[in-house]
Amino acid sequence: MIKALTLALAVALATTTAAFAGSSASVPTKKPGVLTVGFDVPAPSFWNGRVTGTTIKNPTGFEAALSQAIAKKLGITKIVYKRAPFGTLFSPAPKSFDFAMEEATITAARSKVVSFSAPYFDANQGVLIRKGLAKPKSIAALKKLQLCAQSDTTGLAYIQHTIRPKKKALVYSASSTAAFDAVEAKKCDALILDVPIVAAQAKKKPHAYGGVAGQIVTHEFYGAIMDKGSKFKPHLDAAIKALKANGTVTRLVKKWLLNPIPPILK
Amino acid sequence: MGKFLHLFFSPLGLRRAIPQVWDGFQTNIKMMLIAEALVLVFALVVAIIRGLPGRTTFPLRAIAIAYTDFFRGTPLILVAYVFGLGLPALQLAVISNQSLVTYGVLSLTIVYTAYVTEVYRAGIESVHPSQRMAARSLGLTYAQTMRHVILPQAIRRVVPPLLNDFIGLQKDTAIITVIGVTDALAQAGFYSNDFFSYAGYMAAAFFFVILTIPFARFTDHLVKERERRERAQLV
Repeated sequence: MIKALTLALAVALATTTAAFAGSSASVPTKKPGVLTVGFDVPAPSFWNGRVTGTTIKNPTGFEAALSQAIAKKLGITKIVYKRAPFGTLFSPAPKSFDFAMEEATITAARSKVVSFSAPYFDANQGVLIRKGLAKPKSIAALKKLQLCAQSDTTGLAYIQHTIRPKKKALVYSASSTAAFDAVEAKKCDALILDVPIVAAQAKKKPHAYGGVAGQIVTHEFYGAIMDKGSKFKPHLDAAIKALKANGTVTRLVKKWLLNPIPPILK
Repeated sequence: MGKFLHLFFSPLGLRRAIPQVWDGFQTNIKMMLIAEALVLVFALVVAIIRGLPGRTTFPLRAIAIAYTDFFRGTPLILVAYVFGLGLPALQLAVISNQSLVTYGVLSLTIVYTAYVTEVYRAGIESVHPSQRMAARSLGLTYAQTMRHVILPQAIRRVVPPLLNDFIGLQKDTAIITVIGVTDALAQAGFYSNDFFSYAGYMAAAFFFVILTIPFARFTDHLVKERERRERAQLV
């Protein structure tokens, strides 16, 4: 009985000291003291860098900077980046990383096999307008324009089901290049596509377009992926929420993805 | 023409792409060497099983036939997806926690074993039955006949087609890129995405060709050698 009591006391003492010793000791990472982050192929602005075998050294970009900020928040000094192909993510297979950031949209179907972190990016739709067009200030204003989209995208679904424009939207299949060309050639007034994609294009060819007029909230969010029921999730969620609250996430979005951040159209 | 050369063969592009693609190509070499060694052994075993005599060995023969029929007819890319993405999802102890390269080698081995089995079998059947009968009448067992009489002749005959299949295997290591192995093709793709240049693909093509040309010449040489020897026998 005494033995059991002392044991219980010892355990209680050990946990309290661990809690006081700092957060890093209690963060359940796969490799103690090391944060393992999964990335797939380089995604311009989200992460830039080079894959060697299965590892990635010193990536830059939004997701790279965010993962570093998360590590700092959790008190972890060492980060290892590993290649975790997107195609292998949504499976019950045990993950070799603590979390993966791969511009993955949080969906109910995916949540059945993996755990998502709190959203770290609002994957809204961006409105890229042609040169010379007055910037539309609302979603209602888009109704009168010649819209275009890429096939099988959220943007197209949004045009067809929510905006319902007067003129039939032009749809470009396969690649976004054709859709961008249509805006450049003024065949299309406004292209609706994921905001980081149109923002990157507008930055690349600033004189070809009228700029990103705004973004439409579609309630799609990117979340980091973990093993289903991962013990790391509460720690990651807390870190992401803290980084959102103190403005770090917004600062990184501005630095790498959207500068300036386009206004939200209502 | 200038645009074409610039996109595919710009000297700067190639110079930048070659080290990056080489980085991935080492994985291709690793996969092809391991897979080729395994295929050589397994295919011979399956070919021997297919040729076993007697009624009692029928179930074994049936399995061997079903295996070769199935995997010769299944695209490698499909097998790679099933093994590379499916096996880890099973969450079984040893089967599920291998590296993607291992699943790649497994897919290559299973598909190519099925092809090479047929090559070996053709070789075995090309040895005249009288030789087998002669060996058995000398008192050699079935195993001894295979080991000392049939296989030495059969294998020598099939070396050229065998090497031909290996050239196919070497190229097909590039297919394993689909399950996420960072091989030469993946690096070439990353490169072209980064620099809007196809020099990465050209560098990868260059590496594959450099590896297969000596192989092809060696095969030619063996064919010629055999012809010379067999013609000499006739004279």
